[in-house]
Amino acid sequence: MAGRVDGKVALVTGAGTGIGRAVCVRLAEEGAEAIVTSRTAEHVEETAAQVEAACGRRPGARVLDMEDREQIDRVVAEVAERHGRIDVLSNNAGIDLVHMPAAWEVTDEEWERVFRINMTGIFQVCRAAIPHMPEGGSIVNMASINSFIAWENDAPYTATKGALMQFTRALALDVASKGIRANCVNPGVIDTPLTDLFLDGADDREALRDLYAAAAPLNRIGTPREIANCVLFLASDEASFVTGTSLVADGGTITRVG
Amino acid sequence: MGNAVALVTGARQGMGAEIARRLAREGYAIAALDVRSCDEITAELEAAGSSVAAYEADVRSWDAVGAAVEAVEAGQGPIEALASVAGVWDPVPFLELTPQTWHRILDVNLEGSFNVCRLVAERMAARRRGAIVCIASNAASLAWQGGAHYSASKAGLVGLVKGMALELGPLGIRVNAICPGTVRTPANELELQDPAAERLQVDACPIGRLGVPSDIAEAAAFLLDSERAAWITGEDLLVDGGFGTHGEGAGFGVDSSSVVG
Repeated sequence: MAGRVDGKVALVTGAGTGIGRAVCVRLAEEGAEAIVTSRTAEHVEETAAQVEAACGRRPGARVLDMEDREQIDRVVAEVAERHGRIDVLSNNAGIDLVHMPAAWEVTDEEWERVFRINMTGIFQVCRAAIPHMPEGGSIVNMASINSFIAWENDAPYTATKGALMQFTRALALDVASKGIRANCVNPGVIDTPLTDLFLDGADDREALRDLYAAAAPLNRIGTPREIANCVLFLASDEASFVTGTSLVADGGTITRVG
Repeated sequence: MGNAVALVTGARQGMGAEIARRLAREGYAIAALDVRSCDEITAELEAAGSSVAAYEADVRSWDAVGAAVEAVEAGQGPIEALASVAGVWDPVPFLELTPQTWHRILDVNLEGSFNVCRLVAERMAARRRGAIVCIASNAASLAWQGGAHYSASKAGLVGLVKGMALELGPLGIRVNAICPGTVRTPANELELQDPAAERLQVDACPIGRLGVPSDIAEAAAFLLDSERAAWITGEDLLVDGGFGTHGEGAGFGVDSSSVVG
């Protein structure tokens, strides 16, 4: 049976762990030629091995640091050269300040680093990739329910995710004339290494986990694969009329007021 | 029969018929409900080898919907997926709206959706299993000339969907809305025959074309899929070719004879 993204070349950033890793596996399962990128070489290798185990084909694999603009330009150009084009760009790279400073406690360095990776780096990858994207191409940026809501002591992350959603909407408008679509996915709390960092920092790990689960009417934390399925839909031709949209996948968390 | 049952309202034509086709391809047995005859679409699906049955009911009537839902479950089995599509678009300038024209829209688009969702959800809740998708509109958040009542009905529907998602989530039922932009259907065929009106709509769409029913059917199939959309509930997914990304296309200056929801 034909896959949902058969033969599409899919460049995935932030693919070393969590959601990005699941995106690589899911796209490859559905026939895409995935290119795994992450700033950490061991993580690139782990994801590449998982993709190969899942679908029997070794994916492209590159180290890519979202803080290194020259490397972004170079790696994107090399991927395009090697694979001929980039049909799908899935941006998942993102960090958060796990020590949870209040807004007034955030240092310039912390603020700039969160913006550098969560927003500027993604912009630069999009800029580098778009000239290599053919008609029918699809960009899927990983935003968050924090694009809509805020939690305490998470101002820089929340600001970047709000910015990323609006950037994606503006991008959708600009790339429409090229026949390229751009959308974002807005996950709620997902079982990823980033969420683990918050759980590890809690006085009572299980209590915090229960609190995260209870925030969703579906009463659980989501899985990376569930978010990867959203990326798959937006990347596929099934979503050929969907652009400039935010797809919220949060188990219903933000339907709730307070 | 064995197949999971999908109930589709407004299944006679347009988006409803296309969603029925798409869900039949997913392997669902289709319960096609409409206020008018669904013979054409049911004959087509039967010819394609799908399991399908037609039900004639006016979604405005609680009793008629209740009887139809009862008949679906008795005849075809438990409803696992519901696509609430039945809706009407009938532009009237605000200052000419009367209680009668107001109710013509609200009773179908909002109360009709409530009737169907409420009666089906009760059965899904007892089984702790089900997925619902309601077809709202980009008019839930944008204004169209002559569409104040329509916008109210669709904004109300999105609110209904979010409320249902919150209360039904713990019972294992996901509920989502799709907000289509302008989709070419029999409901707006006449309006879009005017080339100027059509051009205006297409130009306002960054993707450079109007929607087709299959655009919406793909989104519905995705949101109803208990594996692919397992973590999605309470979402209102915009499927509009990018129309909503920019201000100038938002219909502010569009003549009421040329707009569709």
